[in-house]
Amino acid sequence: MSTEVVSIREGLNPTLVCKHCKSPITKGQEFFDTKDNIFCCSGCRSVFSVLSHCNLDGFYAIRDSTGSKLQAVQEISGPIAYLENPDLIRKYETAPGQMRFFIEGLQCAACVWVLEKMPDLVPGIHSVRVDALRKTMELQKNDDGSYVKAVEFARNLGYSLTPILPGDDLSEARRDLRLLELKRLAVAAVAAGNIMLFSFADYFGAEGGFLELFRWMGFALSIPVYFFSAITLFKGAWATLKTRVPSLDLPLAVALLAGWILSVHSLLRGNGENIYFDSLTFLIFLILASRYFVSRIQDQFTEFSKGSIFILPRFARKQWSQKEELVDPKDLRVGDIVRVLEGETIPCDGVVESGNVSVDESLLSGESVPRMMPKSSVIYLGTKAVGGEAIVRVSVTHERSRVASLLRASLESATLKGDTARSLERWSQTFTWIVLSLSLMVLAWFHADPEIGFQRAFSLLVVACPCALAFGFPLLSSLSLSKALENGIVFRSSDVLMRLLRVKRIWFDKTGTLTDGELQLSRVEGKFDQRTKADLVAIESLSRHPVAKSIVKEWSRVAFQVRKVESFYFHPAKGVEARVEGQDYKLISLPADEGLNIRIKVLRNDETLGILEFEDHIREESHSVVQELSRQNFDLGVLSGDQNQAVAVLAKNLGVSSFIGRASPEKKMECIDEQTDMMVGDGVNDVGAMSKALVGITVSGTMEKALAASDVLVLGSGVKWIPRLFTLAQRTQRGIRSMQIFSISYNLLTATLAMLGVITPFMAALLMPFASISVLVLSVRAFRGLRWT
Amino acid sequence: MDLIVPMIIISLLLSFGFLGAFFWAARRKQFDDLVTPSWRAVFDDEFKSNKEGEQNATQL
Repeated sequence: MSTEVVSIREGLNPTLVCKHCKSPITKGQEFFDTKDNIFCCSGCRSVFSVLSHCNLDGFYAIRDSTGSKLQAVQEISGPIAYLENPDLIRKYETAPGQMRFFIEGLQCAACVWVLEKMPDLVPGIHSVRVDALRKTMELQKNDDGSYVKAVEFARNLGYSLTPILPGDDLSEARRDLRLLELKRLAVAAVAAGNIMLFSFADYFGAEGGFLELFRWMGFALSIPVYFFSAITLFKGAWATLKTRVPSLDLPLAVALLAGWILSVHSLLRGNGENIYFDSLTFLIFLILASRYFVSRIQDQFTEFSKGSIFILPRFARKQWSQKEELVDPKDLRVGDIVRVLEGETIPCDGVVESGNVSVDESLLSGESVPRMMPKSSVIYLGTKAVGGEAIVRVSVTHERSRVASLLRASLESATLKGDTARSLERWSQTFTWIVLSLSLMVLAWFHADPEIGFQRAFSLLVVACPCALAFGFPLLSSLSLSKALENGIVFRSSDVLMRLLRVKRIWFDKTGTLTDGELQLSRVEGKFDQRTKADLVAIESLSRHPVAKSIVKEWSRVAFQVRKVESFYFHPAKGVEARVEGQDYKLISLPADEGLNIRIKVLRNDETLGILEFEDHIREESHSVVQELSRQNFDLGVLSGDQNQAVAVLAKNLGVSSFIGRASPEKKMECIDEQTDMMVGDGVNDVGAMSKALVGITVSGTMEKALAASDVLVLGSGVKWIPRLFTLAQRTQRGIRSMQIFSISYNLLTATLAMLGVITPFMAALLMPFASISVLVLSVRAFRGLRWT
Repeated sequence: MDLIVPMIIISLLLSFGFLGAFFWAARRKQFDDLVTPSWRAVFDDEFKSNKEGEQNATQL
């Protein structure tokens, strides 16, 4: 196989692309394998070699035929041995030998193909079935199979699998509910369609027995619609009466029931004057359909954000009279002793009893540089031990831990947000009371001739149907939400759109939001030859510290040789001491001078070689987004847990006037004004701030990190589309305005005409679909010509 | 006009037949995952052209 070369635009400048992920590579920075294929990183190289070794080259054919774009492979680490523990396995299995996993790294059809090939390649695995949308898979193993082998296999290919605790995943129950809703919708559709055909007989003046037959058929078909499809509406109306919480269900239920009783009455009396089974069932169908689509879109938010529960640790190493036992972190008691090894997530809030551990606390503090934890310091659940190990005494139970409390706070505030929905419902409530009392007044007015009174009252009820309220607004918001979804932006609810319009100030988190969250080697002082670089790469590939990652990333391209590391000591927060093929190296972390950068002094055999400086990189799009937002007159600010100096440098660099550094999650919450502020962050350490803010937006590159605290989830594109969100909100508002205008003028006009008797019930029934269709057109028109680029 | 009664019966049978088919499919979880199966269709083709086609690319 030869090296793949493609030329960009002019065809003059040939660019090398990675054999695996196809991202372009600068010449001189490529990775080679034994057959001279080139790769952008070692991760891509190893995935390619595993794939070709297992005869899975079809992966690339699928990638190309579906036009999928891959990302460079991320190295996956973290413990998996807990999946051999029978007690934990029993907790996770959905049936004997069957477990569901959450997949990180699933990108395209080819990934599904490769994962589903697992039974052919991993002995003892019976079947794998991937659900690409939910990013889950169901794995069935034979008695001799092992979950660890399956997870290891996936890791070698760049996928990380986390077992799903049955019950942790709420999507199962929701899926059953949606299926029932779909069935209700189907029944309504079939019945309404047929009733409409039958009622042509009435429209075109059929006579005699046939007419009677058709009317009775309409009645028969309306029964399943009322008692199966629309039952949720009636239940909602009943709940409204009981709890006195306003809901649109009550007015709709009254109108629907009144119409039905009138129709049945008129059928039994044998005069066909007031039979409306067709319009009534069609209205039910429209209402159910719009509600179904809205809830489908809202489901997508929960699906996307459910990755959040998987940041929590899956197991704890409980120390038990000289023995170690793996237990579920939720079963830990206060005073229990647990051991934490390098690379593991801390399973509890607790106090370090002994050991030498450095902890990545970015989950809570946002500080990307690991902190050394000496004896009797406090460490928190969900943070990560990146170096060393420790014995920890549990100080509070799982549900009272800091992360669990923050999570709970965010879920509680989620249920309180719903102003738009509530005001809409109050509106419709008023609307209905007006219509109902008008109908009663008409009845009273014509008490001498109840026939006419009844007819006019019913025309009024039918014609003044709150179409715009019942399905126009939900439809409009679901349209705008799906517009956003096409661009990888997921809204928790349509309410958020309206709240966006009230935003005055926008706070940005620093690490991972305005910056890309990865350290980058920015300056090299002193001389480092190829050999030294290769030695350093060998040393640093043993560590998971961000500095180490950055050195490996930067230099393994230029200087990759196999080196034997003879000894390796990691002194958390101080540096690394190692011996490579007879040379003693020391990497010592220096105090930061300007705040933003991290400086490392490198010594070989106690002789200084030079200084390496690392910086967190500002995302490309941050500049233009800040510019566009300040042009739209928003107050901008940076709110970060990092050092003051670093935050100041970043704010100055981007031209943002206000900034607050060293902010703990609690401090961040204090800074937020819940009436006017929007918080943009990576959704991990700013959970509290996000849920307090008027609008909370999560922009982490990977949704796995995002917590349910945010209102909007941006997948992959970072802060780039944030200005566009405001445009979308304005469009939606304009759409709602035009619908309101239409609805008010239509209802005023037709209601008056109905009361005057100009509109007969039959005409009213014909007008109803007209109103529905106008509302449909209005909502589609609202988003015409909305561009995202 | 005599034809109309059998016609009505046929039309009703047809629509309820389809409704029944829909319920059956829903119970068989055919509406659970609307994305992945469409991708699997692509795998079959790719697999046959790449390999001998001796086995199915997917384990259904």
